[in-house]
Amino acid sequence: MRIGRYGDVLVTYLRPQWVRGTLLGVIILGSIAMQLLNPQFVKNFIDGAEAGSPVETLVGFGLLFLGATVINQILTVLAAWQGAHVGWVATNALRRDLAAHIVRLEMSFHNNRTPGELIERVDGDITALANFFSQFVVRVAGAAILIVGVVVVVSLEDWRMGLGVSLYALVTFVVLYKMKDVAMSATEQEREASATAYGFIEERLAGIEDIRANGGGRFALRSLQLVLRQMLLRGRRAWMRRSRFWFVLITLFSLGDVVALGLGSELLFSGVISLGSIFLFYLYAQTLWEMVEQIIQQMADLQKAGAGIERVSALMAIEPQMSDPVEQKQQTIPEGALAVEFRDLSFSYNGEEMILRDLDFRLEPGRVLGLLGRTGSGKTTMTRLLFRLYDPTRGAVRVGDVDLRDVERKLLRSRIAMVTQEVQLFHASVRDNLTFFDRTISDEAIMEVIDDLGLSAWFGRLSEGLDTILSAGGGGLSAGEGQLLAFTRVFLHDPGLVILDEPSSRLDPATERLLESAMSKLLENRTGIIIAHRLATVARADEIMILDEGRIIEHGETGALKNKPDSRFAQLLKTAGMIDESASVEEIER
Amino acid sequence: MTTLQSLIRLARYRPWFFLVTCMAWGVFHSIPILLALLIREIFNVLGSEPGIGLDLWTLLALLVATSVARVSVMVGGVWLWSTAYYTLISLLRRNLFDWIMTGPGTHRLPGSPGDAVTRFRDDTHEVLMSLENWTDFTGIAMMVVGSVVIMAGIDAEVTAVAMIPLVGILIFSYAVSDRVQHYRRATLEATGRITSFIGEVFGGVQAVKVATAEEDVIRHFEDLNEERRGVAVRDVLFSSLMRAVNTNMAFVGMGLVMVMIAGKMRGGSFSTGDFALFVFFLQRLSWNMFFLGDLIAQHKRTAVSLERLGELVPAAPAAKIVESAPLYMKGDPPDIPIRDKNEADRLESFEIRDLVSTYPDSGRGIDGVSLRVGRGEFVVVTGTIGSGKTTLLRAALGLIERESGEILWNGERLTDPAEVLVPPRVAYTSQAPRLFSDSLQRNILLGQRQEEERLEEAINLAVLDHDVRTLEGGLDTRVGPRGVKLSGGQVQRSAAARMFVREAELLVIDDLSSALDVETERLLWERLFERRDVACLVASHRRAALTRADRILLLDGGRPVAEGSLDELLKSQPLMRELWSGGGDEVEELV
Repeated sequence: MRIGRYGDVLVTYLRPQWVRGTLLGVIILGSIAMQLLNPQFVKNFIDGAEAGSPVETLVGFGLLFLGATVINQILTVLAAWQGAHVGWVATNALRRDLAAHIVRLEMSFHNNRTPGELIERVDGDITALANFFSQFVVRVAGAAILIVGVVVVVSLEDWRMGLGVSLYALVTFVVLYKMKDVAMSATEQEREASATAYGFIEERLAGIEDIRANGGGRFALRSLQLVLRQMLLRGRRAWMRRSRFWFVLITLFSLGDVVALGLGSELLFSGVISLGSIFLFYLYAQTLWEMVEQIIQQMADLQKAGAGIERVSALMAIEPQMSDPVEQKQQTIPEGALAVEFRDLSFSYNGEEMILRDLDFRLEPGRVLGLLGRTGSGKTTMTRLLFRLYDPTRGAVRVGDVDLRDVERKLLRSRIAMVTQEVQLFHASVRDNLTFFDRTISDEAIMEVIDDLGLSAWFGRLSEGLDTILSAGGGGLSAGEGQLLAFTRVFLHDPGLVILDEPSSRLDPATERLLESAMSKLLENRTGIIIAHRLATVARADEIMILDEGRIIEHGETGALKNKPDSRFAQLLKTAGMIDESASVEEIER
Repeated sequence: MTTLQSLIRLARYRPWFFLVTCMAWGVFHSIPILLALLIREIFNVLGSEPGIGLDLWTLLALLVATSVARVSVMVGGVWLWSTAYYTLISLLRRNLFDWIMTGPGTHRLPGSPGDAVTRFRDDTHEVLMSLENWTDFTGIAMMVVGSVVIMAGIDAEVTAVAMIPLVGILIFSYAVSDRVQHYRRATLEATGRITSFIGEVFGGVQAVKVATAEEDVIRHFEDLNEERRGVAVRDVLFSSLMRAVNTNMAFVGMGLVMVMIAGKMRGGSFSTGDFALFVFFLQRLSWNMFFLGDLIAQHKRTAVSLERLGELVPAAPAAKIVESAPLYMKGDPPDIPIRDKNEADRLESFEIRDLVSTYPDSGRGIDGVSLRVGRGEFVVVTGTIGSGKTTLLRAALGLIERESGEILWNGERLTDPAEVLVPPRVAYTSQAPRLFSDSLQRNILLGQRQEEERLEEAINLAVLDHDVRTLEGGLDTRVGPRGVKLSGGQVQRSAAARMFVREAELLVIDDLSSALDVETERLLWERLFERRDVACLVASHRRAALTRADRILLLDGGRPVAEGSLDELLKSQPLMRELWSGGGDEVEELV
């Protein structure tokens, strides 16, 4: 059994709430006491009636019974409320930890997971744990204490009955213990099927227009049906398995009645106990049944929780392949503009096909490099290596004269900024979208940047300023406006290296020119790498590098290359002059 | 359509199956009446009071036999209900998905796709919970009526008093159901915000990493979680309050019975067996009363969920999501029939007149735009960012709502353009095209019949041929979630291939080239131009597109500024000159 793992999870997430937990325990103990006390009043009531006690005495027992019931009522509600609180606080903490873990995993992990699947794993699986946290310990422990209490009280009444009840409880627990994992793997498979299904649904819903306008709707529907069928088959199987508890439970319960009544009758007829005592046993048998029922309900939830924990631990167990250097070995990155160096570097995503081959160059601090090459030549991969999203297969990347493997990634990434073509927008306020939820950035700072960038006019059109909520998927903002937003993001920080990967591809030339001065300002006293297809965009670069199939085929001073008639860059410019300035490298090669 | 009507409609998908399920649970819930009578007899025997004359051990044996029979019914019941549950929840999900993907009109999700997932997951479940209640209802109603009749037969007065707290449960459950509904909705909405945020973070995780925003993003995630906890705890508080009240009300009833029968018991007119029967019934009745109260509350929760599901498909007829449809839970669904081109599909002209369309949230959009694309024509829509190019294309295709204006195909007015403007008439590439976690080939075909030649041609047209050769698995390469395993340019060209393979008459292309280098783009247009029979409507500000245009429509702030050839517009429109960019020399050189 994986009790150890449940224990670890419980301890980790419940410990911070020990005060509330203790309170909860006290409430539950009080409630148990009431439940043990109550049948005693009934016993006295029946025996009193048989013996002909005065009616007032009998009514008195009735009222005592009522009083204990009301107290128990209040305690039960308090317990449920506190339990829910504890459960949600604990699962929220687990959710946070899991999300934080996943977000730190490498791109190679994310490239294989749909957002819908991760939604199901971070939210769905953990919600299945909520009950485990809030109820499992208190309920199961409470039930166990109550069962022990019943055994003790019954033994005090009559030792033979005590023995009978103990045996009954023992058999029940042996059976339950044997059955504890009965539905675990089926439930795990069920949850896996639903994660796949929601992954499928989320992805398709994100692409409604692409699917519909290309007549792919029926096809998507057909695929959904296959996914749903899988859910039915696995779901029903897990359900049947989980219900086995109930089948066993009801059988056990009827046997419990037989034990209480059969054994009781023998003792009654031999004059050892009273009719009231038998009724007492019968009521305790009911209590016992309720407790066993509670435990079984918890066991069924435990199957779900168990599957949840398995899946959560499986995710938690995925270690990042890259790690930050140990603290003693960590080096810092110098202030100001940063040198960039690729040393004899080769890189492959899958270990086979080399995307970058033998790159070896140095870009001095404060210089701007224009990077040219066709799509797929490795330009974007170079930027990913600079952020240490991947480690080189061979060779090294150095920024600020430090090997990236010797720097804390957080520090590294805070010193580099990038504007890309695809901009991630959140269904959140413009402020949160600009600061990426960093609350330390003041509104004044944001407004200053917006002014600097000459975006005040655009900003003025937002209905509620920084508080304007962008609808999901950045709706209401055009793709070009998204890119402006990305520019603003960069200006809110003070990086030593700026990477512009097709920063203006979605901007029209008019808006692009608006950003020209902003870009100059951004590159001032900073090292820059500009990737672009259009020559105009790289014209400001101090150096030009041309990549082809992962190799550097040309690298030099912009001026020198310009004046060297047989350089590819010069040819490129020449052709561009004849055709138009947005001509590209490949053209020359033809 | 009321909630109840919706539920009945849903259950009628497999009426007999549902009926048998109800019957199984009806038997399961009413068997305890028999058990109660047995318990009463047993206590009468024990108390040496007159009974039906069976001895104790016979009675105990009957007790066990009845319980075993009940368990057997339950085994069948669970199988029946789990089958019904998954079948009907699949039907709901299928119908929603069907309408979104193939229904007429425009389709915009009320929130992010992540939020929609919550509705597909949790709201459909709520609906099924209501249906589960109805399968239990008959049996439980029989149990309630039966036990009340039996108890009243023993002592009507005591029964009446004992029932007071139980009726209290019913009223209480009903009274708080509005609150329950309120908190339920708040919890689901909070959950929607969480799932959509998770979706966005993991959908753009590289951007988060690059911005070192991991910690800030997680903090925001924590806030959303806290917000949900606030409402969820109240949600749970109410439901557990109800649960707790219910289990204890039986004991309150028992206490009342004790106070009432004290004299009768002593006098012998109320036997111990009668008392045992009352105790047995009261305990079960309290659960049953809770059930009946919760039935109402669940009904309201279901109403909320149906409403939220309706928001996914606002234009659909009310019965759509619960109507019968083939599910194929056993055999594979049949292949999709593909419509071949007919005479009416041949494009003579595509026209929009005075189109007005506004985004509700931003108030921006297009205002009074007209445009015509004739057979074989190449028409470009251009303008600065935010000028409404994308909006125009989406409105013209009927992908977003239009407030006024007409859309015509070969001179015929279209009432539902989205239904007509699909392959083989029109194919579309959006600005940020979506690929799905599947093979490249299936992403391109999207259900299109697989014809080697046609596929090859489309790939060639999209200038994707080189990439397919170098990709590890060729066309079978799994492209990963949202196509992340491909480069930005490859995703765009795959989407272009998806458009080309449909061999449509009119291609609507939104800024295809933003991730393409100029040469690839030029090549793409060149290859496309060799097929003169194709008409194109393109949104772009790239020269490669502008120079080829038969006509250009210049937009500014959602309004048309001018229409004409590139030369005309460059001469007359300063905005066009600005867009064309570069110095004046260059413009002159070209003109």
